[in-house]
Amino acid sequence: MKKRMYRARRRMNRVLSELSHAMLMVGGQEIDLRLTREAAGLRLRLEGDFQPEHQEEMERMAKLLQPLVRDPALVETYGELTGEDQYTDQGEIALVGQMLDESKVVVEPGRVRMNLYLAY
Amino acid sequence: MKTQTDNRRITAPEDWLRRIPLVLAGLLLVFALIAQPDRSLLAGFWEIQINETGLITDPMVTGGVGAGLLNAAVVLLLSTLLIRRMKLPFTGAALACLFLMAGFSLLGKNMLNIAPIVAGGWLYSRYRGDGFAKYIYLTLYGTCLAPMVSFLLVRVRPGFRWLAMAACGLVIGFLLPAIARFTTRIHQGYNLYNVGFAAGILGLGIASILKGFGVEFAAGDGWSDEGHGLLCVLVSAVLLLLLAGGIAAGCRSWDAYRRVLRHSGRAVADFVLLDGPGLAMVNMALTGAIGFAYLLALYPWGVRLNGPLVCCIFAMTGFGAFGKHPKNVLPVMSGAVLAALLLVAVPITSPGVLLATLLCTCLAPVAGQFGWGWGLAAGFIHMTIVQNTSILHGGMNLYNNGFAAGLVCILLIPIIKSISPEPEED
Repeated sequence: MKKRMYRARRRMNRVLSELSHAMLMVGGQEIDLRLTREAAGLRLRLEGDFQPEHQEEMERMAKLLQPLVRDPALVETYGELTGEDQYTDQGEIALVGQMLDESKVVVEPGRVRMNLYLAY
Repeated sequence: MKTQTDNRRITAPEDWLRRIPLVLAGLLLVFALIAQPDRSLLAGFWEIQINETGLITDPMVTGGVGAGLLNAAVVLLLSTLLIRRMKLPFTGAALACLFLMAGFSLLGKNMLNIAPIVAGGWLYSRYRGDGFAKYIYLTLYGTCLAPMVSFLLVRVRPGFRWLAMAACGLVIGFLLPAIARFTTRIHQGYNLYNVGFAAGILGLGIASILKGFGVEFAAGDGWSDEGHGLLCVLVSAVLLLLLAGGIAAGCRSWDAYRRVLRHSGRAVADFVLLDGPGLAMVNMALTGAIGFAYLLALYPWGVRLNGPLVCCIFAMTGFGAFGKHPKNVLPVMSGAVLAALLLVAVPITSPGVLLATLLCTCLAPVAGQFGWGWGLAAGFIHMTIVQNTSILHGGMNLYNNGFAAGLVCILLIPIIKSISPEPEED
């Protein structure tokens, strides 16, 4: 379990880095991040605002964070690319979506709420 | 207005995507039978398994056109079954990996020399306490060092050769995933053939040790021009089927397709995940067609399709689902062609230059991210560097262009970033 915890913590750090970066890029003024250690994983709740002109971009981000399929081999192969402030397009967000074990994202006009879970 | 998507795990999009490599394997098999419809097919196939391979070694010279295609079909089929057994979804990453496996079976991989490397990858997954599924792409890409396995099989004295080959393959398969994870950070996703870069470094290490013990590497040499017509029909069929499949899957207009062109291509640009399978398949067909058209344009100068060149077309086609598209590959290819025209000692139709012109497209994300000018520069530098990298690993790394591209990134990316203005943000 200790080994798994270590890996989950490293992955969560990358998720946090990518999401805070993406939220600031879409003009977020106030972003609440709440990280909880649960029995079998780490849960991140994020709530924040964004500029109205980025509505479509946020809806796309929501889709990428909740992919139809998740590929663990993709994460193992390219996971090291996340969390380095290299944000160029939504490829990194797609990778974050692949890293997560569960995700629920609600996008409203100018506001987003996320509940993301990473198992040990 | 509220948008919410449930966390569904639907498998529908992948179900028919799984058939693409199976259809490709079927096509390879049919064309193999057309090319060599007699017993020489199996004899040639066995010759390919037990012979030495290398960077520019055409298995069609070793065993015949049909045997080369049969080898590609078998390796592709086994790789596909392995991925299916892992119950992995069929994303752009899977398609890119499988097309590369098929392609490089026409340039040095075979059933016998990839097996110990795959076993090494499996051992690594056991050591890490993970499922093999997580390492399957890294392991399959890692088979680019398969010539080293074949080299030991042929060159070591009888009695030890099977042991030496198995040990070498296991070491490569065991070590490569860790190195590849690390090298991703070095080029930051701008080199699509990351494992080629990692394999180049590992190959450099192993080749240096072996050279220290007196081993001399002599790169294989073989370049056929016999199956041109048949291979043209094969490549056309593959590209047309992908195009038709993509159109049938919903990519039916320029407006629908052009969405893919907005991506830089920097890893991870999985077009199946980002834009859907239809668009990805059309892009695969168009990207592969660029490589095909370039080679056909050189026909008057004696360029004929063969195993290694079909390999390049398959590599471009596969990565059309994972980072490459016409807008980002053309500048890089142009830079490579320009360099080849200016290079005094190397004609533009020489095997190494042809491979480099098509495979330098692993640097397409540089053009996609920083513009065509930098893409041109990347292609130009790649063509010059790649002429000098194979000697480092003794020609044992089939993804030599991936190795060279990693070095290009180390050279170019920091320079681009240091002189580019920082983005202005609110």
